[in-house]
Amino acid sequence: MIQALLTIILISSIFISGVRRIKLITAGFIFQSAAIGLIVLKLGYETGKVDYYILGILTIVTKVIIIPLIITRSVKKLKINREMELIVNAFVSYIITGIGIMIAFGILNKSQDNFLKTGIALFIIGVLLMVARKKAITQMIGFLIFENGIVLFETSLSKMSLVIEAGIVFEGLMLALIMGIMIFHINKTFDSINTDFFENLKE
Amino acid sequence: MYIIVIGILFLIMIITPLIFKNIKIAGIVTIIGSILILSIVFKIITLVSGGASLSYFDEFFYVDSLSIVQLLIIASVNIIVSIYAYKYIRNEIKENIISLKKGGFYYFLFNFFVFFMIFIALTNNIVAMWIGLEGTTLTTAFLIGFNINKNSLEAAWKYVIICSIGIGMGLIGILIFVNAYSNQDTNEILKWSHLIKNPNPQSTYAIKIAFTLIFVGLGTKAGLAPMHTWLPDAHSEAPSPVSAMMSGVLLDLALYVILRFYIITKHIPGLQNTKWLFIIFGCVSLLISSFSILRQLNYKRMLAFSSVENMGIIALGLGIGSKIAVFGALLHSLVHAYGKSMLFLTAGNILSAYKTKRIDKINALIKTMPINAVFLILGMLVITGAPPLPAFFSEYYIIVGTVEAGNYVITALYSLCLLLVFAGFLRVFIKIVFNTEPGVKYVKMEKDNENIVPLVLCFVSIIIMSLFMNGYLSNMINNAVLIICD
Repeated sequence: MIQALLTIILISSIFISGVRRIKLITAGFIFQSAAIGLIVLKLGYETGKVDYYILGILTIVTKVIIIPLIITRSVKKLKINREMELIVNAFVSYIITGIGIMIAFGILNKSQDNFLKTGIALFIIGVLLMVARKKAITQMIGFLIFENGIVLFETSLSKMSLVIEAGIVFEGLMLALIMGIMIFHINKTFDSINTDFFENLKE
Repeated sequence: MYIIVIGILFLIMIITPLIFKNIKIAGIVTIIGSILILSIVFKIITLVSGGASLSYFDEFFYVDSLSIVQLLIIASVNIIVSIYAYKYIRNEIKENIISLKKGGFYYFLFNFFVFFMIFIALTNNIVAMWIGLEGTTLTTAFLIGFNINKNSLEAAWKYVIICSIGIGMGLIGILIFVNAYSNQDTNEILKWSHLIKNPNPQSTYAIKIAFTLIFVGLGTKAGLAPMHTWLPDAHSEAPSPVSAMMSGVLLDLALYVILRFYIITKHIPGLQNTKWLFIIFGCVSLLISSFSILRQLNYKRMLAFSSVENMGIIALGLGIGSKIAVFGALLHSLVHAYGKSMLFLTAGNILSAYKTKRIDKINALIKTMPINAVFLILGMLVITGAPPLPAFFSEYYIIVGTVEAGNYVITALYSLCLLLVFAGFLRVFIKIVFNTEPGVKYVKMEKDNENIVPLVLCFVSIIIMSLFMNGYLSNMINNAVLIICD
């Protein structure tokens, strides 16, 4: 079951890395976060630790419900539905994603820990989205995918106390909220959320 | 006990602007709160003065001589900045730049920001340090984009994107770091004071990777080049009190968190090479910033680049690692905090009078704003390390350290960069202060007398520092040096 969920995570991240429609990107992100939430809940069921349950519920509530709601609402308000010019086009993005996954699974091929490998692949894809896309919303989703990678990483590596884990997840959520509010203001002042217009501050 | 009092004080300071609509009350409560916090910090300093350490709440909070230096910087700069902000925010409201509600919002965010910084300096839990750093990112993101306009939003977006990647990388590093100790007691491995006593990990290779990730990731927040690209934008676009706090205190605090990990890493046999990360990134920061300072057209940007340069100096001093160089680095972080806040606050006064950040639009400051002009020159002398002031000694100690270590290339590079910065600062500030254009009559501006008290406080603290250098202060720093070097 966990293997299948990890596959869903990888497939959804490959899917996200190439499509242009923000609705589809959001849908992929929802699938991915739901899969991660379920994995963490499953681990909680297996080990019987409360930490996992809370982490899983936090992930599902914030990343499957709250953040996608914010995104869809702001997309409606901003009247944008697709990423027009990509800095790195869809084909090259797919190839980079593939190479990223190969690197992640290649370097760690001795390790049996699939969470670790998937987490690293998610880091690469998240950073790719943040760097290679122009719309501020897509950059935000890139950050959230990065954050998902951190959750996977966290569950696989160390067992920290509950307060600390909740703190990490909570601050990720806050950062996403702040980005959402900022996108709103950027749209108001620039009449667009293309980061192309960010060219006032140069030496 | 003291921790609880500090917590309650911050709670009051954070809630007040939300309850009372009057901006005056929020300002006064912030000032009183910051004074009380400084007095508590002084009390804690006397408790740890002999090189002892305190711990509270099952070692979740831990105070030693190293964190004292940071606490002192945060608490004292906080007072100066809150006194400045009292007039600054009221002025902005009077001139209709921001609304009354946003004034309250400023105090809310600012007090939260200071809370997170104090939290980082006090905590013993290495992941909690990361949580504090992330918290400062959350609060300052809005503070940078405070005057919502094109420039400030661009700066804030850049800041959020770059720093969130950086700090995310830092977290990955910290997780790997903790995981390398998973053979030890799980309740203890997150405690810095435990790790420093048992520094032997399961695999040194994992620690190597982890420390590099931590250095690069948190180095983004410390403003080390080449990860500094957000810094000039953010520091030049933020409101002046926030730039003063971020530049003087926050950068140094991020370096402090890296330093905590470095101290553990240093004790592991086979990982002595990690010091080169500090040296190389320090030198690159020095080079990039000193050449950038020469071609700036915006004085706040120039000050921001000077922060990158000073972080480079501190990182270099820590990397050299001999006692004298580390002493220089810690002393420099103290001087830099006061000097840079003084310069940023003066720049804020000039900005509110002239309404421009361009260097070529400002002339003959000595005639239009004589008091601020004097402080601008004094601040420049402090930050570039002119002889009687403490920055001279700190920079000199680091030179001595590089010579003793036999790294003559680094000595040459370092001295060259300091000279370049001195030249760049002199060129700009002499132009701003003394240059008069023929045919123009300069009149003294009324705004000159407005916000002088915090500048005087900054300068007085620097003077006090120079006077007490051989007694109390050097004892305190020496104890901190022992923690790093042993």
